[in-house]
Amino acid sequence: AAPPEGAMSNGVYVPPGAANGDVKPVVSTTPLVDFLLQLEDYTPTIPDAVTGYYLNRAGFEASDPRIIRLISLAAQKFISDIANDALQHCKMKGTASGSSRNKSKDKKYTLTMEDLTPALAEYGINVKKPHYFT
Amino acid sequence: RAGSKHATTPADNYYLARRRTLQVVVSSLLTEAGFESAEKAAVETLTEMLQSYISEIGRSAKSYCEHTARTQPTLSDIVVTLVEMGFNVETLPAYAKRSQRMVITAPPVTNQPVTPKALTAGQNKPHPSHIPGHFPEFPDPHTYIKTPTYREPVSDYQVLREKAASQRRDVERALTRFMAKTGETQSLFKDDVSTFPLIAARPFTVPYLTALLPSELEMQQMEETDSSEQDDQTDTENLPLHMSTDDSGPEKENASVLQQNTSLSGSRNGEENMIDNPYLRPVKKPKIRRKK
Repeated sequence: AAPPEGAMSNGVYVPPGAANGDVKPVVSTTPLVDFLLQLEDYTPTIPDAVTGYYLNRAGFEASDPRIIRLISLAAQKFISDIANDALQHCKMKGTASGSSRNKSKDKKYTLTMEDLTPALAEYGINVKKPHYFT
Repeated sequence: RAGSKHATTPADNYYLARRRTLQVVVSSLLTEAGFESAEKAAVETLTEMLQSYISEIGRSAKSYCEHTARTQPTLSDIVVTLVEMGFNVETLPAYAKRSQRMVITAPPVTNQPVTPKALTAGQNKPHPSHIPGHFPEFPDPHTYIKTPTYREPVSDYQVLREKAASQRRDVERALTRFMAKTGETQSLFKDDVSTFPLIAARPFTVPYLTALLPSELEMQQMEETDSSEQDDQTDTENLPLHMSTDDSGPEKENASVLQQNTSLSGSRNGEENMIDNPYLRPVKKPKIRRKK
C-alpha cells in the first residue's frame, strides 16, 4: 500500500515530472483535516481510554481526543484489512476444488493460522507458531 | 502478561483489563469481516499486533514531532507516521463511513477503575510538578541518599612548611630556567653552553644609578606616604640588575626572580601610565622586617 505520490502531509509537493505535463500534480491540503472534524461524534470500536493508555506508554501525549480516535481507527483498519485478506484465503481454499455450487460456501468461516499466515506474509509479517505444544 | 489460568494479582489485572478489551475489539472486527469463529492462537496474534501497532504509531509520531522541535504531536505527525508504516491514508475516511453503516458491535467497554499497584515501598514518593501524570513515578527517597566524601585538608604545620618551601624552590628554578631559555645567556664553561646557562647581565649606560637612587623598600614607603601614582611598568631589565649587582640587603633577598614588577626609579619622575593593570603593579612587600 504505497502512498500516492505527491500527497505529503505538508500539502504543496509537486512531483518532479509535473513540469512536462505528463504527470498530473496532486496538490492537496493536509489529508484528513476534514475527516478529523467528522470524528467529533464518531466512536471507533477501540475505546479512547485503551488507545490513550497504549499511546501514553509509548510517550505520546495526545492533546486532542480526535487524534486518539484517528489512531484507533487506523489500527482497526489495519486489522480488518488483514482479516479480509485471511477471509479471501479461506474462501479460495474452499471453492478451489469447486465442490459445492448450490449456494455460496458454508457460512461458517473459521479463522485459522493456516489462513492468517499467508495473509500476514503479504504484509511482510512472518509468524511461525508451533503446531502443537504440550 | 498473557492471561493464564493462575490467579492474577490486582497489578496484573490492571494490565490485563486493557488487553482483554483489545481482544474483544479484535473479535468484533473478525465478526465484521465475516468469520464465525477463530482459533485462539490467531486471535492472540492479532491482539498482539494491534497493541504493537498502536504503540508503534505513538512512538513514531512522537519521534517525528520531536524531530521538528515540538512537544505536542499534531495531525501532520500522525499522517507522516502512517505513511511511513505503509498505511494508505486516503482510504481511511472511506473505512470510517463503511463502519458507520455496519453495526458497531462492541460498545465502548468501561474499564475497571485504575487499581493502584501494590505499594510495596511504604515510603512517600514526591510528586513531579511539570511532568504529565501518566509518566511513571519517581523512585523511593532512599534512591537519592548520598554521603559526600571529601578528604580533610592537611593542617600539619611541618608538612605545610615543607610543601611551601619545596614549591617555592621549584618555582624559582623553573622561572630562572625559563628566563635563560628565552633570553640571552652567558656560560660559565667554555665548551659546554647548555648545561649551566646564566642569565646574561646587561650593562647599564649609567652604572652608578643604583647607588644614587633609593632602594625599593624605601621607595615603596615613599610612595605610600606620598600616595602618588603607581608605576606599572613591567621591567625585566631589573632582574639581571639584581642578579648581577650584588644588592644584598636583607630586604633584597625577597627580590628574587619571582618578582616581576619592580619599580624603576627613573620612571617615577617621568612616565605616568594611566593603565592600572593589576599584573603590572609593583609587588607590595610585607612591612615586617626579616629577623636576622
